[in-house]
Amino acid sequence: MTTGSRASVLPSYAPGEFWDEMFAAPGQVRPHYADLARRLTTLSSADVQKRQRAAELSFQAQGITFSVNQDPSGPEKTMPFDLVPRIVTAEEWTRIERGLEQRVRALNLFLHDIYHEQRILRTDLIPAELVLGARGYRREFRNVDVPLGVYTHVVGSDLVRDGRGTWFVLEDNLRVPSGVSYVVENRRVLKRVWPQIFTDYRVRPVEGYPQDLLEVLRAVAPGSDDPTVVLLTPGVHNSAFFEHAFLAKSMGIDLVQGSDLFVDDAAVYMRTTRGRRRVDVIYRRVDDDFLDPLAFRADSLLGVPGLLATCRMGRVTVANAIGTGLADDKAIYAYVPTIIKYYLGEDEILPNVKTYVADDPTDRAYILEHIAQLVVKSVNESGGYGMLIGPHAPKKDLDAYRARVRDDPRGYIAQPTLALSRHPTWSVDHLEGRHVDLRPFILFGRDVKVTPGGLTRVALRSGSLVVNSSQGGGAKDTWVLEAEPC
Amino acid sequence: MLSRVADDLYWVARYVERGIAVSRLVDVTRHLELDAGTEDFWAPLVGAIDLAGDDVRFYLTSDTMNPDSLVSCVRAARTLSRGIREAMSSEMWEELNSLYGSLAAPTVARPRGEAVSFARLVRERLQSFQGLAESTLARDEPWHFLELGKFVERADDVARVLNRQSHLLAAGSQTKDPTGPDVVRWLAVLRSCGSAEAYARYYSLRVEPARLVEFLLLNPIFPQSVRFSLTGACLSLDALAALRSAAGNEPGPAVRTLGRARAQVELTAIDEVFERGLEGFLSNIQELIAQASEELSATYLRDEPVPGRLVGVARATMIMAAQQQQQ
Amino acid sequence: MRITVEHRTQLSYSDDVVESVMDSRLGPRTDEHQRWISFDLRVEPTASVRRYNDGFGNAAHLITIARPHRTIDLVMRGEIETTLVDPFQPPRARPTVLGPGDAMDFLSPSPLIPRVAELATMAEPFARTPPFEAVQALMHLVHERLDYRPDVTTVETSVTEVLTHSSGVCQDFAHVLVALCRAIRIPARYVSGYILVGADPDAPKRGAAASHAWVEAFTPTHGWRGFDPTNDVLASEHHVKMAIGRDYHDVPPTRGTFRGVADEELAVEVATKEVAAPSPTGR
Repeated sequence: MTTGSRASVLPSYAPGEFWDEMFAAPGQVRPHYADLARRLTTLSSADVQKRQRAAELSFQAQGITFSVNQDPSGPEKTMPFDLVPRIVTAEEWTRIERGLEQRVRALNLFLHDIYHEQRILRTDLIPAELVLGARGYRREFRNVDVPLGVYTHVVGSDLVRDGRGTWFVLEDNLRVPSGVSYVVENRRVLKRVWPQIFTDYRVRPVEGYPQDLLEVLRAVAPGSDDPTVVLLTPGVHNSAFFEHAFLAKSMGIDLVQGSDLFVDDAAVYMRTTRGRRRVDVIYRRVDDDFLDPLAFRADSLLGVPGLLATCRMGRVTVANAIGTGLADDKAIYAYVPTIIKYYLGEDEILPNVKTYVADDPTDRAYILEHIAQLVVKSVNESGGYGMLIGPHAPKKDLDAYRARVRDDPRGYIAQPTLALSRHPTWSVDHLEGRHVDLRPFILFGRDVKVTPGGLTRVALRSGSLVVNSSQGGGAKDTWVLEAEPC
Repeated sequence: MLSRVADDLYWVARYVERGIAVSRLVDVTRHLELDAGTEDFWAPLVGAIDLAGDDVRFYLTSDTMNPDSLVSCVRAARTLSRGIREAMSSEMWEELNSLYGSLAAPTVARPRGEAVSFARLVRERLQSFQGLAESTLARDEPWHFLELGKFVERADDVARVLNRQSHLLAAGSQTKDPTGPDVVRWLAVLRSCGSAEAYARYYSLRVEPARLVEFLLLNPIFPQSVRFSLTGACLSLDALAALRSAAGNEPGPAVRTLGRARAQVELTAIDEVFERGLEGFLSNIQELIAQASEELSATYLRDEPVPGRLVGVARATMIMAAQQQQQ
Repeated sequence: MRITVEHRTQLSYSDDVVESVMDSRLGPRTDEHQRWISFDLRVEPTASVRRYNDGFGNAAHLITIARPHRTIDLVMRGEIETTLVDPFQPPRARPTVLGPGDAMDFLSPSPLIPRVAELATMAEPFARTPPFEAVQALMHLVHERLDYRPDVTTVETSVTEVLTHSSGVCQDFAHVLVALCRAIRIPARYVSGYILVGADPDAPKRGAAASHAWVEAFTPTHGWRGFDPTNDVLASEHHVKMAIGRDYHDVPPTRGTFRGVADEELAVEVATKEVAAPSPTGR
């Protein structure tokens, strides 16, 4: 790996005033990107397009698609994949890893506390109404001894960099975080269509994720020697179905729907051609609301009647645990540094983005006054929906969101717009800077494991800050480099 | 394996085999049109009453309102497969998925030549799917459910074709002096099952109704015969029943019912068939097949439909409606 | 008082059904004012009956019958000792303040009890009255304002609809009283249980034919005390508690699903009786 190349390798690429992942300055490639930059200059635009097309076909042939606009009967799209990988050095990753582990442990302790003695609520560190009024709070699951004390088996935390290159956690996703199948598939496809670039680097592998996840799930079984683990999916019409099928297949477990399961004698069984079979652990990609028509939404066809009771009796384990969505609330996110301090006695390694919680009167006033400079988000939505980007919004949208914040302050938070970092991305026939974020995945069973890399999502439209796939975002392969031997 | 997955796999196999059967009917229409004066005959043969010419071909190939059209069969098979990809090999899925992708939007009736080559193309792809199953799947439960679906469908389809022309064939078995049009009609029956050439190799060129019925109904070694299909179905069902029994559960009545159907075609001579009445014999076989299919569902694939769980009820209804439309 | 209860729930189906799963809140519940001496829950046909505690601390039973059946006969027999003779008397020890979890549960809107402006207005005059007196006044208000009429509401009825009809049964009376208490920041919870009706003119009159519902409100002076708006009396030794929750939705006596295509009919019978306490042995 060469260092500090000063040759002008991509003459027309302009990093602009944003932090650029690849370029420290115009024509000045960051050391860890030097080899990649060299490769890029040896390719013509036709070469790149040929590889991009090959990648697209590979995704399509595999049926790696998702439904757009949250419309399951609508057209299916492949996730647009950008050929140029995003590279993170080993040193940088070490810090990120420690920060994420700290965060997940603290959130888990917080959840355990809220669903047991609620000690933190007897202090004034975080308003009790904020926590207990969260939509994801499930009082039905209070006082359950979850195996290994773990609620947060799988977490996807979104990271971004600001204009100075500082990493921030943008949000934590703890309900049914998705995207990890793309992490594995992107790596596989990139290796297939552009194997040469891998010879210059030692990239940490990601294909072990399904096995690591299976280990976590087996570890939290309610005490069987050879536990039966299943993945519960809402079904083919769910926009993330491909991922459910992919993970189930990679882990070698059955992919089940609610109607395949039933409860008898306080145990969960699945219907098989040879008769009923006991289920010990359910990795569920179904939201709490739909898990059990006897406990939650009575009209749900996606769940299993009696599942909550069986879980309370410790006769089946559900991952992520019921009620974990509480910590998915963006208003709770704002308190994570406080939570880390309270439960671990530490300062947060990875900072939060400054967040104004509309539920708080002072913050609310600030939001209403400065709405045109802020990003306003609904506390429970994901996928980029329920979001206002103040600086880009027309007056009528600003007015609409002001009204929403006034009517339902508990439902909104706001953050200053960040000058998200950018990464060279192919646009038609050349490289252009596009805003990116990063979603690593963290597993928590007997210990915490952070996947090396994660999903780098890229906003494909020039100037756009919206990276979510449902709104036209794409993805890059993410490389975490092996540490250099000393 | 999961009951739902087995059920879907069973039906994928049935839709694929059904598509193949329908494509043969399209072929028949081509042959028959070459002989004038037989239109009143072949429309009912293909199950399309009150239609003629290109309309029939459209009905068979591209009519999305016809649940048994080629397009409908492919669509149904692919839709079911999408949810159970883990049960088949990736080659099988890709074959079905790309076939589905290549079906043009059916808006107009295809002119004669196009419809026939379209049907042939689809048949080849579907047969390829069956071939891929044969070479890529281990002989365990998924394989057996695919075989079961294929053979149950085939037995049912051939029995139906014969039954549609049972009067013609029964009368023909008595005739000493067959006419030209008679022979054409009998040939048409053979062609509907893709068996004209095989018959000729087995029996020589003379088409005789009794021979024809024997060939398609009772022959033990010809793959299109009902007996062959029922034997294949029973073999697979026996294997599944054994697995179920080994797990300590009842194998269910489907084994006996299917066995009864098979016994009929194994132990009845062709003369007896005509003596008893061809139509009655065939109807009985079809009833046993339908009954076995329901019993199979109840034991292995799906329990009673669930109220309020619309998925269960809707599917049970769909399955029954599909069966009724066949008859 | 010593009271025996027999609570029979019968479900019958027009055709065979399978996989019945029933979640029940039939007790037993023991606290400072009542002690369940015996509890027996039987199901016919033979079923799996598993006890657990729900998120509110209620005793719950998960009852399942997998194989085909056409009827379910559930009988709960219990013997309870109730000790609250004078509900007006404050407890000896000063009640501890409610924890944040309980405060939130019993002050916030719940599935069948949303915030209703009309009820807030009705409760407003009592906002500055000492809580224990306020709840009594509100209880009385509910008793006066609503007509007791079965067949007008259902198990799904929310307070908004009750007000439209101005009538309902004990469940609705209780919901309205809870709403009024919460409107003036008095924590209030829904109690599902039984009531002993007697010839005694002071004894409650209504609610014995089925399971009964009333309200518990938390006041700084008396802690949790029961208020029965259907009978316009404070809950006392005549009341036996099965379960508590935010509203009916949290604690239906039974709630279940089954698989099959059949019509379901439900019949419930409750019988409560006072029995003599056994004479104390020894001095």
